[in-house]
Amino acid sequence: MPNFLELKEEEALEFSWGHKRCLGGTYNGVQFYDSFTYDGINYSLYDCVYMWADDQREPYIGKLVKIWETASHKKKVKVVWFFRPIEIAHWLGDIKPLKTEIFLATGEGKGLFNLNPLEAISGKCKVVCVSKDPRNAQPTEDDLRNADYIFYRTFDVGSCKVSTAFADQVAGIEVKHYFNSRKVQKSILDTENVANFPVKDGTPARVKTKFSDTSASTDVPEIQAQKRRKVEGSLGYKEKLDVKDPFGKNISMSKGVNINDKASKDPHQLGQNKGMKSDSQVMEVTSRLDTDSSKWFKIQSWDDRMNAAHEKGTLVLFENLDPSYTSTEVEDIVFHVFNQQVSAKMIQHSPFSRPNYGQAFVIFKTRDAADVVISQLKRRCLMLGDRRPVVGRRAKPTDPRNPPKFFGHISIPKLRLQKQHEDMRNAVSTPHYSQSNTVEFDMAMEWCSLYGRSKLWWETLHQEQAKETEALRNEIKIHHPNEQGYLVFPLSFYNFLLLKGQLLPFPGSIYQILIAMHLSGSCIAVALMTRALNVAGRFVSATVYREAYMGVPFFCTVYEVTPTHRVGHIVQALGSKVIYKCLEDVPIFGHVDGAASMHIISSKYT
Amino acid sequence: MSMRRLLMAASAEEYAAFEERVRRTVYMDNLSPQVTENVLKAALDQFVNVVNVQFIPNYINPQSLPRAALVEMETLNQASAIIAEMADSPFMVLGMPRPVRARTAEVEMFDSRPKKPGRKITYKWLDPEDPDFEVARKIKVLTRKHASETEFLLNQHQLKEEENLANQQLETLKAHYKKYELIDAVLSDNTAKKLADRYRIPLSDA
Repeated sequence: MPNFLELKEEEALEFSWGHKRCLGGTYNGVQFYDSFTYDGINYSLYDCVYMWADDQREPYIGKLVKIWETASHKKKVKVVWFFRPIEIAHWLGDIKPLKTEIFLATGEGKGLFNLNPLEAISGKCKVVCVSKDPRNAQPTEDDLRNADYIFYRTFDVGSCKVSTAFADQVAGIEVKHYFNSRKVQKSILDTENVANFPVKDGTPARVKTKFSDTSASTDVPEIQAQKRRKVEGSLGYKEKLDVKDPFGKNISMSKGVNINDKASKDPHQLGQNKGMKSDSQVMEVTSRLDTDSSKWFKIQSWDDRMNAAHEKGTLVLFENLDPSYTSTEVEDIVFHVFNQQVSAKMIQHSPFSRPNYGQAFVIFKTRDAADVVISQLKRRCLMLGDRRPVVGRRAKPTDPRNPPKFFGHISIPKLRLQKQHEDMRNAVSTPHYSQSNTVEFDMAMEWCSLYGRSKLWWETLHQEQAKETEALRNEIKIHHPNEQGYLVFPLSFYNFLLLKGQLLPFPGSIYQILIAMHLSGSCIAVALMTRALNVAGRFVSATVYREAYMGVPFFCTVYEVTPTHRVGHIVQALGSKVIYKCLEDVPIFGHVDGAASMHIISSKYT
Repeated sequence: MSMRRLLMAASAEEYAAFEERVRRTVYMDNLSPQVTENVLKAALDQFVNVVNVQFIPNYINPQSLPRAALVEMETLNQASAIIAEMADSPFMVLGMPRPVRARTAEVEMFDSRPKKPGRKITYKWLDPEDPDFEVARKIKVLTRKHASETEFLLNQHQLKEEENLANQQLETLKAHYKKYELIDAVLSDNTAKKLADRYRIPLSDA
């Protein structure tokens, strides 16, 4: 196997390390890794990859068995090769290889593996082992369909022989890594179309990092439609996700892309179909995009989902919201407060609705989640904005299937039975203004007066109710002259990492501590909450930490602020960075799901 | 910094566009459930240009309420003209003699609306130890009370009244019809003519 030349890259492709494995013992400064992200694709140990060499038409296929970074910051991988049939045609003899079959290199000798620069990797590859070896987990139908290549035979580079037997070790790595792993099938149904959330994966070997250029827009649809290199624009489908365990070899993954919820609509729903849920795990995309169309499911309309949710017990009605909230905002709120992804829809106002009072239906993921939320809302009071405690309860949406009764359409029963002339019928049923000399007109007038009266009594009721609520609200105001509260930031807008409890003590009396951090390599331009919070601060000291939290390196700068100076200046000096704010007694909390996604932002401000 | 301003500008613009659309839209209710989008469009096309018709789904109100729709007109003038006209004289669409009611639409009536720019949502948890907890709890109770009041008013009062009126009108109509039938019958089978001859009253066919 020829050694690869250093590929000259036209542009610097994105790269970042994933999870660290261990430090190299014998070689100082060598750090082994379990995963990394390169050019927007996430690779893990034991993945199969394509590697291009300058003089070849087709890329080589190899398996990553070691990933490391040298002391001189060179990134290297050890790759065990798979042979294409044509490469070993000389030694194949009578053996007829299958169409997508490749051969694993085994034995000792040249051509078994190579140490290559990481940059030579050009893509991920799905290789499924179909060997009947007892150590190999048999692949499923889907795996086979998705696989780029299959293998069950090996080619010994020493003896140049093809065999179906697998030794215990290949190239120093245990053979089980070459077989299929027992995969965990996870089908992700619901997602938030508000933000991209990666799967919270407990296994350490797998870190999904998502790099998003979300800074371009606030709007949900645009964020969803991020350009990823290998993604075609696809809307609305559910994908099965195979989560790889640490020793898994294969990633037979399908891709999930957030859909633009404004784009695909249920035609009979009004404008926004909030029911759009898609796989928000923005997984790395494999090149087998088009073949997945068979898996696309239809996204149900909001109506169906709502009724289904009510049956499952996951539908909750939130009351006493500000009527000008939008459904996305409700979702944001629920996410902030309860840390749950939901789908919500504000109920539209009717003349009977109370002014200053909004309701929303919220669909939770599980019944338990809904229960928890309801009980929490009952026990404690969640105050939104200006003194509005939120009421949450289970409510049944009106069943649209029941035939509605409509009062006011009267017709003579006898006439209905009789055959009417065509024009007579037309004349009767075309919409028209009532003429003043008809019986119809009189009756219409009666209806009008009924409307007038109804309007009056609704108005009185609303006034009474408004008075009562105001009275109570004013009581609250007395207790809290300075409005304090947690700010709810729209999820779609901000992307950043949270440090877990890394509050560093500063001497002296600190009023507020600002922690600014940015991801190395991709500064996320984010709106400045300081402006929104109207916080002032004084830059006192800064400490720069270069941490790798969950495998993602970032810088952390700490500032001490007091309310006298404008933090805006500080921020400007830093460039555009993400700013967090917390109180000294409230540690920055939150959790990181291994990706640049925001979870809870909490800050007290005055 | 500038990015944020750009975003703010974008969302403000979107909101402004949305508001303009709201102004052009008319909220119509008291529609019969048989009314479809096409019917409504055809009905109004006689007077104005209708851009869009959206029915408002009824999730929380009782089932017997008449349908409502948001009708977007082409221009602001058309919208206000329709509203004014419907206020003056009753307009019938498939449900007679119950006229359709029209008013200006409000932002909250719309389903998919952009967020109000520059709005911050804050939230806060209150625990039972908090002095305001009691008050907040009272507000919650009040909310529920109001909700049930609304429901009562809707179901008992409003619908009842409507039903009463409808029945009453039906009765009147039947009575009228009977009268007309009677007269018609008399005229058609020459009874009237005979009687007229008898009493020597000139009977002219008006």
